Amino acid sequence: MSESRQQGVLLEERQALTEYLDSLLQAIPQEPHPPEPVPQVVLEAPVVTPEREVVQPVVAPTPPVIETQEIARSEEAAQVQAVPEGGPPEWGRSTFQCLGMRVAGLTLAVPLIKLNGIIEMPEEITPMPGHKPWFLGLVQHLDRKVKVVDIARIVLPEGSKNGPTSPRHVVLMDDSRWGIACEGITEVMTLETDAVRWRSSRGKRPWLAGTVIEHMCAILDVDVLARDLSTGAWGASDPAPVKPALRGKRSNGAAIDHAGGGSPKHPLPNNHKT
Amino acid sequence: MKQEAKASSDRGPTAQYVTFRLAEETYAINVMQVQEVLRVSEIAPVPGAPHYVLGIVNLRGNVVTVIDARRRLGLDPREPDDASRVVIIEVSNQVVGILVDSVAEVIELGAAEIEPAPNVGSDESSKYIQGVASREGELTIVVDLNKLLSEDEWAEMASL
Repeated sequence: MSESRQQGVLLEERQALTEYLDSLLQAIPQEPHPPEPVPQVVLEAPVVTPEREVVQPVVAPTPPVIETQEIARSEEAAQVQAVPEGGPPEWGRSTFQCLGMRVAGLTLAVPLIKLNGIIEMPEEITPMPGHKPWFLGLVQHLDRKVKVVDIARIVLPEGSKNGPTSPRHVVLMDDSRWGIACEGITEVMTLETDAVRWRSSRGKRPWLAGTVIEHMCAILDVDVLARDLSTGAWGASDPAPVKPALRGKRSNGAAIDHAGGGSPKHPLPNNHKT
Repeated sequence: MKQEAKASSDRGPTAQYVTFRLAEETYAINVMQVQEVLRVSEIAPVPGAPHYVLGIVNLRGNVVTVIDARRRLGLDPREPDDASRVVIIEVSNQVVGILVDSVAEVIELGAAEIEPAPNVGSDESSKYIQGVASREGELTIVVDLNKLLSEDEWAEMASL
């Protein structure tokens, strides 16, 4: 086998994995039974252009993501803070570390430098009436009232076939203003910037910074995520109102139904319609 | 003594709030808007009323509309029990009652203790949440009764 042929196969495999990872975060097709995203299917696709595989070495000077103060209260600040148009954020321009967490069958990674801590999913969470289903409620942590979100409702497309989440940990970010509920913590990954397939354009998912094929995970841009959380600017978020305080007091291992089924055994609020 | 004074000043101007329970959560409303608290008596349904209106009661000769707080806040409705109370409030020169699971106590909160409600993709129905206060390790949701209903809804209440 020639070297060029081997390189082509490698590129195809890498592209297949990338497509697979991306498909987990893409909208569900309209087919009644969408096919499983099997890599082999993608491998049969036309050969990808090599340009897509080249990690963009130098990106046009994108404004670094600024961690704003009081972002939750300041829409103006949110407007000022620009979304990177492509390439790595500032923290990803050299070797960096990420923490992996499991969410509804998917591994998400958040840069360690942007994390404020990890706490166990508290026994008690205070839901707020009239908020989106992805906002689970408030928990008191030290002197903060942490706003806990069900990240799976945000990053996974509506109608995702992934099973319910059993949040066990809350990953704190944005000066502990926000907490991401997740099923578990996987590992700390040390990544080189060129090991990440940075998104060339943030598009409808500006919070997705890139993907790491080696670890089969998606990297979240925490700053953009916090900004969008504060504005609630989710194009694909479920508009159904949450019924807060259905069961404000939860027990560990409780499940959240992402299909919005609202099973009575779920001790966290679901998106029931009134 | 100085510490107490400092603590008081840190809290900002204080006000008293009546707390009540709804679906295992604690809510607070300004005591100045509360006229009285009643046990649940016979509530006469009003045909054609909004879904959150339980009906009307006769309060010493005056007709008072009773709102189901659970329905208004988007919670699962439930039948009143012995602990249920109707809190008579005055808002926008109107007297209405709100049915709650139970009334807890009167507390004092400083303005600085009430954090603004999180603005996280909230919809119109959450505008009545003034903020959240932390007390004894638990969070209390402070309700702005003035925003419990819109102007149109208040007008509809008046016409019932």
